[in-house]
Amino acid sequence: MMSILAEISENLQKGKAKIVKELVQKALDEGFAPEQILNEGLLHGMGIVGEKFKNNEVYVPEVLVAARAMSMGAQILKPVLAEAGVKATGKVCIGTVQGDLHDIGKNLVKMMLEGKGLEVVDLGTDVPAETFVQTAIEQNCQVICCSALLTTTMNVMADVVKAAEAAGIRDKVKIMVGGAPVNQEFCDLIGADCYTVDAASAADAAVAFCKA
Amino acid sequence: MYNVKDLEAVKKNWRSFWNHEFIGRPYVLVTAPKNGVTVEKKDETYVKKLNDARRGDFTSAVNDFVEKAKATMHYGESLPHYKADLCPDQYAAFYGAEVEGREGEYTTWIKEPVAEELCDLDLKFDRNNAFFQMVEKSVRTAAEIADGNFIVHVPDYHSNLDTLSALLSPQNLCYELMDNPELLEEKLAIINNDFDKIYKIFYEAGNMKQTGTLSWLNAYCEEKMSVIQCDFSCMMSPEQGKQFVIPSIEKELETIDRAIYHYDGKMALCHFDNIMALDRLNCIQWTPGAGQKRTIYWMDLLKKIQAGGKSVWLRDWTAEEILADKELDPALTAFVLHLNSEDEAEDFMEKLEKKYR
Ligand code: B12
Repeated sequence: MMSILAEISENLQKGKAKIVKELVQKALDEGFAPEQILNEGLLHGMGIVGEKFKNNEVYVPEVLVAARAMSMGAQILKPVLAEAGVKATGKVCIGTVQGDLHDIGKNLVKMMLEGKGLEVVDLGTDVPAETFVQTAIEQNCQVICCSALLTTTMNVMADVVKAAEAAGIRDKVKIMVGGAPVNQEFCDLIGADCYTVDAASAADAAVAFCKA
Repeated sequence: MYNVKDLEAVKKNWRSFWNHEFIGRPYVLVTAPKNGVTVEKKDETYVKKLNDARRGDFTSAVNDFVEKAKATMHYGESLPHYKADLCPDQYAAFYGAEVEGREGEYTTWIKEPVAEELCDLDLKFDRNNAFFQMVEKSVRTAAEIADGNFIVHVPDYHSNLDTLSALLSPQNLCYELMDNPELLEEKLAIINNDFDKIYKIFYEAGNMKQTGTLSWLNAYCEEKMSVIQCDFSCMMSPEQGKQFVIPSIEKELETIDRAIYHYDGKMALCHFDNIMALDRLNCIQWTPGAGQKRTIYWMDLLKKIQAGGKSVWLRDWTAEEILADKELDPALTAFVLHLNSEDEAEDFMEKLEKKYR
């Protein structure tokens, strides 16, 4: 018989939010440690979805429903994890840059970041450069993630790098950039720290930054 | 027709274009400013057109256009044309989405999704819908002013799943795709069935039976043509595409005689084979997407489209690139090009014809 944690992972991959929620509760009732449910159930499932998305085996809608299932499961775990003193592996703020309202890619990155156990501050869309930096300072984020889908707004990312320098936190925070018009060349040009083509790789890179 | 030398010859070439015949060179739609005439640059944005229309002014934008059209020369297969559309997401507005045109911005916005869930969407097309009436009046007025001197566009629809995406938000539509595929099929069918009705109303309003049809890519057809697209397809798997996108396009193709597919973005390439399998699509306009290299760097894909028996529609090549090209099949290629003067345009046309002689 499949273990309950494997069942959580399976159902999460299928986007079955209600079942995931019930199974997480059941696992808690059966005495599993919340951290184990998180790592071997929820994050395990989301990791697989992320990999499959990277390889074009699943598409945006599948990832969105999986992520929705994960957040439903995580809601139940959150208070228990806090009680047990389990800390996130790092903290990231993310947003779509000023002038830009495209947020599906940004949301996917956010979900993948959470899927790797990172705490994420979501600034939403149309976010001014200063807000990214201010948030990183106030909330102690190790990584800033900027998303842009328009060639006309991607330059705001350069402003984020400059604002971080001006605020004197450039050596304390990593700046990641992404979105369809962005590429490695642009990332190098504006002096950001990392570009990745997809959300799963973005989460891997952010984890590496937080651990470093 | 303003500044078109030989309309009958142009029409003949367009017949050949849709039949994929070789006319001695690739198809080119070249424009250039008329010698000795300068026109002041006018505000041509959707925001202006929409806000004018809301004030009941349907003529200013057309009159501005007429001034410009009189100062623009046409070469090759190019014809003067006016876009009477009032916003990109018109089709969603026909079903009640509220469109906002903020002064100073180029484009208009859907204020907010009409509903979060598909089950709350009440999709009833009503010709008396205020927004529809405005677009209809915009088309009708333009056709009256045109009086055969230019062609009024078949409106740009953003129909099928793009309409639902505008009504719900793309992310909510993704959820519905997974959660309620049957309901989605049902709602999509309503929108797809209305396409015929809506096309025919504009066909009549724009006097298109007399003028022929022309859509935003500037392609012309004596019968009914349209540019078809499904931008939302970039979110979907090939299977989902087969279930929802392909039947929608097929349904739209029932209304029109000739069609170009506006194919947007790398992420939509997973549907390539299914789109190519649509016999009634004549031509594909590949748009690599923001941040990607221009279409000339997608030669393998362009050749694959031609090998599959469809034309390619290209708008981002320079005159030099067009003249130097040896790879594309000229019978299956159309270029849109704007040049700086009559001399440049005539020189270009001459070189192009010589190249294939
Ligand atoms: C959906 C969509 C919209 C929706 C957005 C809804 C929403 N809530 O997001 C709506 C309808 C509102 C919209 C509006 C507009 N859009 Co739009 N839109 C799109 C579309 C169809 C898909 C974008 C998308 O979501 N892709 C899917 C996601 C998953 O991909 P992604 O964002 O790239 O994210 C992935 C990676 O890039 C990466 N990633 C993303 N962010 C980050 C961040 C970091 C740090 C990292 C590391 C990685 C990373 O991970 C993601 C997953 O792997 C594209 C066309 C296309 N085919 O791509 C046009 C497109 C982006 N839009 C475009 C335009 C022009 C507009 C408008 C100006 C149109 C208009 N007339 O109103 C407005 C602008 C609004 C604004 N100010 O932002 C153009 C941009 C062209 C350009 N040169 O810049 C495009 C390319 C269409 C086109 N060919 O013209 N749009």
